[in-house]
Amino acid sequence: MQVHLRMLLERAPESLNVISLQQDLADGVNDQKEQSFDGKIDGDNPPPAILPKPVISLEDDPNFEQEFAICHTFEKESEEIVRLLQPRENQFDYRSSATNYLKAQITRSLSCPVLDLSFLELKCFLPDDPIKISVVLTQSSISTWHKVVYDRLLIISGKDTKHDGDSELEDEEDKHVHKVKNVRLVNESSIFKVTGVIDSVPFEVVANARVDLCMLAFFEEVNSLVGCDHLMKRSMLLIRSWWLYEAGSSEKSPKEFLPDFAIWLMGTSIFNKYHNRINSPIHALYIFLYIFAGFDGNSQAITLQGIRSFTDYSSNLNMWDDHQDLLIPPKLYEKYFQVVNIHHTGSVDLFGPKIAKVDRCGYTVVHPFTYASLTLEKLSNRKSEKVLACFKNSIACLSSLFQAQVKPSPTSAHLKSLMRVIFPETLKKIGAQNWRIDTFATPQFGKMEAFDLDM
Amino acid sequence: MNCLTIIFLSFRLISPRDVFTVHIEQIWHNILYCNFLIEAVVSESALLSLCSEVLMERKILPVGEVGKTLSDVTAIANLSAQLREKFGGLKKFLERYPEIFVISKDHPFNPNVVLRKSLTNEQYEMYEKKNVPLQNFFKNPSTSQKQSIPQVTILSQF
Repeated sequence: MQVHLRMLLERAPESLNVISLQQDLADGVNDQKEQSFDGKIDGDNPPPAILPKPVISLEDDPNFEQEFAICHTFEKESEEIVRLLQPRENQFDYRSSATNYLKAQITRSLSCPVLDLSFLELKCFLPDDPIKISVVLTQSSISTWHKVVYDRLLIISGKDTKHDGDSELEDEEDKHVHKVKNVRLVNESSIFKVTGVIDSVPFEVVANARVDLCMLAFFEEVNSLVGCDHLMKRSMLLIRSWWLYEAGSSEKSPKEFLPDFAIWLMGTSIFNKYHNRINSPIHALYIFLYIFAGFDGNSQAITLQGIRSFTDYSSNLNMWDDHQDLLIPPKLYEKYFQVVNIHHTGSVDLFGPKIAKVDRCGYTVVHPFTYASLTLEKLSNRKSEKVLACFKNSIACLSSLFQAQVKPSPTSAHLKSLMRVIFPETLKKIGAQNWRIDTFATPQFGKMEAFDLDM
Repeated sequence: MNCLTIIFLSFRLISPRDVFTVHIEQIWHNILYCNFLIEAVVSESALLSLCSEVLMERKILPVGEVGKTLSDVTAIANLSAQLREKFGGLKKFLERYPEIFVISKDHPFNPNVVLRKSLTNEQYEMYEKKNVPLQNFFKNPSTSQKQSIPQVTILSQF
């Protein structure tokens, strides 16, 4: 055991927080004092975890197969919802124009490259997804960038402005007027970002978000692996729409607890593990809800390889302990691992138990390449319960819908439509009102694209 | 190309799902570019972009000046040594892309370099056939003497 751990230590890059068990190796196994969730030694107050709950398995539940078989009844309807959600040409045009406008403003104040980081890069976004931009800075200029960008955006804030000719980014044809407002400087644990709203779309400016760029490329490659006419992107539209508009529709919405990358990672993990079973977005949504409704944040974490159990009360997670039929080949994973951890030399060991130290909290979604937390904050158990409740409620609704197809009854007569049961808010917003805030104001568009509520 | 292929391709061309198609090379280019500027990791694609951007801003520069500007922008102290090790030097690297860069014949070690697209076809012909010095085509020397770090912004062009 010690030899094996020592081998792991030799391979593990220091920058990754991969567990350093040197002390344990020297002193024997250190079970008495465990690390608490924030990484401090906390032997007196162990976290309220119990023995790891077994990871839920689709094969164990006979109801799953029965309900999963009914999914195909709603394939057409789920495709309709995706069609409703998928980006339109005028959204691309608008977002490109708004992004270029912001880039031009930023480069006027900072002499540095500016990159697009939002899901516009993947061409897979919802109407209110923020425009996200990263400035690329060398270490010497990183300390003051946020003040410069904030000041510049503050100057133009509240004014109707358009490209005025002295920016390299200006497109001759792009004379659209944009209005920037609500500019704020946000400090998240000494990491600065400038946020605001351009016209009606939120935006964020961050610095050197190299790792996020790698994640976008990784998601794109996984989407290519899944194939089937961008099945993964179509499914992610459905899943994100459920999370943002349905699960997060109440006043005390937990939607901010799981940011976009966390939801994308969770969706990717579903495709990684169950790619053989997913043929349409409704299959993906059902497995997504089913699996994560059974997630136990106290003793488990969500990783690219699926739900994993913590080995004990510490933040140690056994990332790879069995050889499943995963979609993502080790070579692809290794490629991105190496590019994210660029100064790490040596190969990544994917074929043996590898214990990693992760940012553990009440709802742990592990970054696949840095092992940091993908949740916005360290979620408490109470917040984690809220998130879990969303999953449980929705899977219960979906189950009722499916059961109503098998055993129709007078009380379940209204359970006919996936849209009405699971996606009422989406239907109301984007279907009936054609709520697309990321387009240029063209009155005829709304009439042309309005969705038939009575279908 | 048989009928079925044509029908299939026509369907693909009009398929609404093509809306999701992305060229991953563009994202990868941006990653390599970030690696160059932030992590000091030199790659061919990123170096090509940065050289192009420097010359787009400064129009005409001696190769040595291009290298100095690259060092300033990237803050890599031993960039010159890295380039020598990887590509045999910056001049040799630029010479590998005659469709992008035009290198003058006026100096054996530190010649002037411009972007091919900065020259009109006529200018290029004059340079090639009549050996007209490249600097003659850039009347305003102040552009090339500008000392500020270029605003490298147009990544999407590469």
